[in-house]
Amino acid sequence: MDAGKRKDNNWKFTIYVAGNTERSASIIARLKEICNLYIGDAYDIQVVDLLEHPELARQHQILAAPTVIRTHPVPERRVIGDLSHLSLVVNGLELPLKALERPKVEQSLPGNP
Amino acid sequence: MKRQEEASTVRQLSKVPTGIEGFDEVTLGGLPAGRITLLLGLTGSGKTVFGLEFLVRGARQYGQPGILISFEETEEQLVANSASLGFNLPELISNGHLLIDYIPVGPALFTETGYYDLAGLQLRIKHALGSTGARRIVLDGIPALFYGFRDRSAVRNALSELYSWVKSEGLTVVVTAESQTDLATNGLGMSLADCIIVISECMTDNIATRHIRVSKYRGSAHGTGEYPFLISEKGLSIIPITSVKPDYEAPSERISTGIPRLDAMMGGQGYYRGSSILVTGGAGTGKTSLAGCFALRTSQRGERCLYFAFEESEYEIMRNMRSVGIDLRPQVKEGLLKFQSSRATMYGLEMHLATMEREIIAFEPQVIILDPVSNLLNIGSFNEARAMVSRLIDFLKSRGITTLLTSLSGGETPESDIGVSSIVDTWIVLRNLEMNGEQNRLLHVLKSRGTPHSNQVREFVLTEHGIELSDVYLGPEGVLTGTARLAQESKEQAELVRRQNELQRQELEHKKKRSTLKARITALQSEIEASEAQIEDIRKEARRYEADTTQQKERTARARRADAVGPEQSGRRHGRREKKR
Repeated sequence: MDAGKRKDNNWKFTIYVAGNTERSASIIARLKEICNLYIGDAYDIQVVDLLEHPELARQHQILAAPTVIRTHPVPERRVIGDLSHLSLVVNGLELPLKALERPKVEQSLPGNP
Repeated sequence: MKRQEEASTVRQLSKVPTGIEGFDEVTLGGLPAGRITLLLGLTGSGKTVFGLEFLVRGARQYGQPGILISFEETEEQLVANSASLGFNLPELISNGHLLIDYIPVGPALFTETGYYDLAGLQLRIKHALGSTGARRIVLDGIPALFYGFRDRSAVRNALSELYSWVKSEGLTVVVTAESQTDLATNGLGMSLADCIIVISECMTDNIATRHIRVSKYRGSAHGTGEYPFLISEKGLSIIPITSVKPDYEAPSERISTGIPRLDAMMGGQGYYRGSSILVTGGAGTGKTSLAGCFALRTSQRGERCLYFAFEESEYEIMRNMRSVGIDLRPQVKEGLLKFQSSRATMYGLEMHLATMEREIIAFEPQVIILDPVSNLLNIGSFNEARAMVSRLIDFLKSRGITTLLTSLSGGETPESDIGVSSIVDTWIVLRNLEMNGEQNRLLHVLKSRGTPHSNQVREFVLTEHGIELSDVYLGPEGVLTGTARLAQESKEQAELVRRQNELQRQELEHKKKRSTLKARITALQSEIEASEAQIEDIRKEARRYEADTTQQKERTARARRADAVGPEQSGRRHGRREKKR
């Protein structure tokens, strides 16, 4: 719901979380961090709280929380989980393989393959 | 009494009727209300149909909306596949009585990047329940979740939360899985389920049969057998014929066998209504003809007769029956007689029985003929078949339907026959007897419960005008049948004629004798009369002489003028006699 608003062909993501919790907030922050790292600011993130919109779970076939869907560019790509494995996130969402800068976060994340 | 009732409502678990034919009888009321039922069975065994029917009947018959969470088939597939079962899902869906939520799972759909839970799944199920007000929920193919998500503990947690939530909401849940290990190895213990139903498919003699079994039902009694079932155009149908208790009434009404002489052998009135009759005999002993007679007589009375033919087609039977003077065509045309021809080996025993049961319920016959039941008994294992047939007989008896079973017996001894003979009420044995280069048929009533039946062996003759039972003759070499019987009959006929002639002759002789005697009586009579007449003449003469003498004496006395008194006295006496005469 923030970041770059300049282009229509921005990367677009929707993140589904269950409840407006600290954990949810930290995962949303983590997604932004990764986007900044790989895409810069050419992306939009929409946050959906499934507790508020449970009907969307059926509509968009959501089972796990959190789930991130790359809705643009098509085809859509999905990842689930807390995004702690960076390379899996990058592969799963098919982000550009080369980071714009050295990921500082990498060290802070445990269990990276 | 009242306390007892209260106590039983406390102890007894409440149940939700499934509406599935036969299942509620097996489980004595249905599935445990507000609890989880586990439905186990391999692919294609009919789990989904069971689940769907539970929901459809719940919505249609019991006003309980339902939800199907499908992990295997899409809504479109389910709608299309169940159209042939007459469920009409689109109508229920548009009315809001049924909601189908297809949840595709598979590792290819997403990448796992860390810790997650299945809040989405829980929320969508809860939302579906909230929006429909469902009371029944079927989770079809849950184990797919374990293949879709690598984190099994996440799935386990989600499911156990879900289960405790639906339980707390009082929803009745059906969870399907392929096998026990399917769920057990994934930590979803059997203990979660209050009721476990197992569907299995087994092959006997190249015929597949589906069976359903209640392997666990916490807090409730249930039928323990493996009940065969089938999926037909009306949904599932379980045949819990074993649950038919033999407490049916025993009518004392009698119905004709269609053969007057046989009626006479059965105490003069025929079979008991609602009883079962077994007709055994070798090939060509006339079993079908006997059945045909009974069918004809039944429909002539205006009752309905359902004829299950496992060997011949309807037209063959009718043609063959016409040759022995039994015309069934008008009865068929009137709709009182119905044939159901099928090859016994066409499908499994329970399929036969279920279709038969269905036909019986639809046609409501008073009489059923199974010709021959031995063909049914050849399907599957002997014990199974025997149990099935006895269940069928019980079922028919409970409905007061008279059943005639024919059975091909192999050997000469009828006792070596199939095991159903012990459960039937009446057993008629037909036999072929070879003598004097002839094959002739014999009939006797081996057993007939509750009727004083004839112990005689009769010859069973198929004529152009129906079946006739003739007496058999005991000759020096045993029973006489066929031409030997005819010879004996003509011998007896000749003897009869001879005796009649003799009688006539003697009668005539005696008649002659009588008339001679009568003539003599007449002659003697006239002799008697003649002698009487003679006597009378003599008397008259005597009297005249006396009178003359008296007159003479008076005249003499008068002339002599003596003895005035004497003549007066005698004159008086004489005068009285005169008067009398």
